[in-house]
Parts: sequence; structure tokens; C-alpha cells
Amino acid sequence: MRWLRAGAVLGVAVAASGAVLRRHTDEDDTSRWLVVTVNAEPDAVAGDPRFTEAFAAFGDDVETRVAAAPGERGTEVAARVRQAPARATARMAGHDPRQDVRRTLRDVKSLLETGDVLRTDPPTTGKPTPGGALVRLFTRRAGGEGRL
Amino acid sequence: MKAVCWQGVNKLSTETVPDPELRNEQDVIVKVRYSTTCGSDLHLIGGYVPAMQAGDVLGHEFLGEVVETGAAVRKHKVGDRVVVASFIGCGGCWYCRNDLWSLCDNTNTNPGIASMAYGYEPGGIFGYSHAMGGFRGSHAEYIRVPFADHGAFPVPPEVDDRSALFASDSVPTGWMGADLGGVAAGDVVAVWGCGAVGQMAARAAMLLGAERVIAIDRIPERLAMTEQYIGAETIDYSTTDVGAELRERTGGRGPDVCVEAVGMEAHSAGPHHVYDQVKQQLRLQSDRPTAVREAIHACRKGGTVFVLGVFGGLVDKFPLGAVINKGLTVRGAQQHGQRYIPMLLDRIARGEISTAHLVTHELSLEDGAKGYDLFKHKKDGCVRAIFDPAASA
Repeated sequence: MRWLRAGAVLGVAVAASGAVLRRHTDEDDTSRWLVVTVNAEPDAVAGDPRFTEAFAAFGDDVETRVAAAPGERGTEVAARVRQAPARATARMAGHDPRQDVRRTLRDVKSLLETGDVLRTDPPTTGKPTPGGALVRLFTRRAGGEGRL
Repeated sequence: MKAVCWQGVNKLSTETVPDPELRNEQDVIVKVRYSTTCGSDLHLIGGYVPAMQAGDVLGHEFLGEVVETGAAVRKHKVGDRVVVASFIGCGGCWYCRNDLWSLCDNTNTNPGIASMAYGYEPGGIFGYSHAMGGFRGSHAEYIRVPFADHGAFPVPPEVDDRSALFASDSVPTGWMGADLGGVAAGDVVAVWGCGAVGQMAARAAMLLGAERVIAIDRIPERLAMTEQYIGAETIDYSTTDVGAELRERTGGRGPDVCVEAVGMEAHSAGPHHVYDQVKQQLRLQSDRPTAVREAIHACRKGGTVFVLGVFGGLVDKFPLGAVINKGLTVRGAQQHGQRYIPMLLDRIARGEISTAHLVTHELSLEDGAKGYDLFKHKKDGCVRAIFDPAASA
């Protein structure tokens, strides 16, 4: 049944590479905003130091904006990286500043909505396998990737 | 501590792993009293969800006793007997506030993985791969429960452990299928699958006012159990033309609501099962949607099909034409347990919902692999094998 596992891992890899390529094309200009919607009022978000301080760390490299979401869905918090997008290889290596921005947006959202940023459990010590190595690579990048 | 771990495709073992620890202030640590096998675990074990690592702890449906609480926990104290929703909900995002708990924005700690497959990531879940957060599962002596004020619920004293266990997932999942499927007084409801979730969906439909509930399976013990403990009519699909039988029993109309409680590894009696098997094994489709297709064809015009079974990816030969031309509503969801669990525990306490009969085998953690072998192959009449971490092999 090993080929089943290999096929499944390959499927994920293909899907992942497709997503990376799509996003790279889509974000190939510096005008694209990355956005989360926070379940809180705009005034509360804009004035909260957990938001302002988190993005202050980026300096002039990242600009932000805040707007009310329609239908009382809270506040849209957007951030934009001024420099050109990183290459796919840099993203795989975790060297794309957009990954840090996505992670920061998610962390700020969670802090404002729950007061905390959830940490997962540490992995148990299973036998090292190629499939496991791929999963570990994806999990290391997963917080900074995804549809934002 | 001891835990049942995934070691590779169709390989399980019981290992000694580090005890869980509080990692967020809203966590509690629960000493597990019972944890049950679930059909959706089989997808992980069989390699259909390719985001597992060797050593991952399985299990997401459980109850136990609180033994440690984080500094921000308000509703629980050490010694509380709690049942825990299998999905982790933060309680603060728009989805949790709108009772769509399995869609929580803040509990899937690996959002980049599932959002590639689905567009957006669902919430985190215990013991259900790194695509769903990488949280350790409940087939262990202890488990960490994040956002415990929202996901752990005290068990009424009159409800025993075995009965309360299934309020973690099977009962709310089944209830959700009938509830969000829009079951109303006088409806005829058909349920595909007589496992625990299918039985609970059938019971929920009855309690929500359905006039007739018809459950479909091929395993004699499960059909008999559904008739005896749930009170539903049954159809054995291995000996009966399901579509013709449903038409006859519904005056030619078809069921008003069809609930699919089978999932991605469906069986059937026809050649399409071979077709689906081959395509799935060749990874030309990830899931076998046999029961979904049948439900869509059987459902009355303008009716509702609710997909409760777990599907992971892509399916072939989906009858979209039937959906459009019959004016069907098709819905699906992972369970929003936090929305229903307190109400369901009360119903279990009042005797309106029977669950303890689902336990056909009780084993120790050391028998983890054996438990899944019994469960997967339905040996010895197995409906649910449950694990008691306090028991010795």
C-alpha cells in the first residue's frame, strides 16, 4: 500500500505547487492587499495596540488599512507589502515577507477575537519518513500561506 | 503516557508518548475515560488524508475528567466530568458567534494546507491530521483541550460515561444533518448508513417531527440495531432496489430529506462500486460518492440532500444535472457540536436518545490496532469499538 501513500503525497504536492504558481501570478504586482476580517468594531481594532504594535515592527515595508466590513461582520484589516513578491523558491524556503504578513494578520485577528493565539501540540516522536518530512515542511510554512 | 498512534498506511501501534501540557491559557487537560473509533478515522488510517506523520495520535470523540486548567479557564474546574466537541472552536470569531463552530477561523494552526484544498480552511479538530491543525487525538490517557470554556461540556450526573461519549461527535453530527437538512413535521426522511452517525441522524429526524424515517445499510446487525434502538424502518441495499423501494414507500414522491451518513469509502452492490474503487485507488478521484449519488437520485423534487459523511477531496460522476433539474438543495458540514451538545445531553438524560447500544466492543489502548481491525472490517458485529485508557490489555 506504500504507493497509495506516495500517490496521495504527490497529489498534495501537485495541488500545492498549483496554488503557489496561481498565487504567484495573481500577486505579481505590489498592489495586492492581504486581508482578514476581525469580528470587532473598527474603532476597537484601529486603536488596539496589539494591532498597531504588530505591524509597527514591519516599519515602512508594509502599509495597513482598516475598514468596516459590510453586514456588521466586523472590521476588514488589510496589509500590503511594498516590495515585489518573492520567487517560489524563496517562499518554499520561508523567505517571503508576505508569509510574515499573513501570519501577523492571522495572529492579530486571533488576539483581538479570543485574547490568544492558539498553539498546536508538539509532534510525538514517530519514525522519520519521506512523507512525514513533506508534511513537516508544509506545516512550517502553513501559517504564512493560504488564501489571504 | 500510552496512546494509539498512526505509523503509516494501515499501520497502527500503541506507543509511549509525552504527556500533554497546557500551551494556552484557555486550555484544560482532560484525563480520558472513553474514546471511540469513528468511521472518519479510517480515511486517515487508509492514507486518504495525506497530511499525517508517523506518531500522530488518533481519536476525536471522547469524554473524561478535567485534571488541570489554564489561567483563563472560567467554566471548568479540576474533577469536572466533561464531554468534548471534536471540533475546536474559539468562541470569538464570526463563525463561532453564528453557531458554525466547525468553521472556526482561529483554531486551524496550519491554515495554508487546508485552504489549498478547499479555498478556506475549516477549524481545528482533535487527532485529524496536520491539515486540520495537527492536534493530538484522544486515544490516549490524557489530552489537551484548547478553548475549553467553549468546547467542553459538563455531563449530567444521570448520564453514564458510555452514553455521554457519543455526545462528543456522533449525536451532534447526526442531529445537525436532520436539523440543517430542514426536517419538518410530516416529512419522510431517508438516511444512508446505519453506523452511529446514521442512527443518530435517523433518531434526530424522528424527534424533529418526521412521520417516517427509513435507514439504509447492508449489515444485518446494524439494520437490526437501527430498528430496535432508533425505531426507524430499514432497507437492506444488498437485497433491495433502494430507489424502487423508496418510491413505493413514499407514494412515488421520494423522501423529502435525504441524509447521507456514509462518506468517502462507500460500498454498493453494483458495478459502479468497482468503477469508483478503481478510480479511487488510481487517485483519479479521492472519494467514492456512491451514497451521495443515490440520495440525489432518490430525493423528491425540491427536496434536500444533506451530506454528513466525511469527504476529503474530489469525486467523479457527480449528478449535477439531477440537482439542478430537480431543484434540490444540497448541503453539507462538519459538525457544529458546540451548538447542540448541551441540548443533546439533556435529551440523552431524558431517555429520548439512546447511545450506549452503539458500544459493541470495549478495549484497552494496547488493543488500538485490534479495535480498528474489528471496526473497519465490521467483525464480530462491531459498530463502535471504544477504548478505556484505564483498562489493561
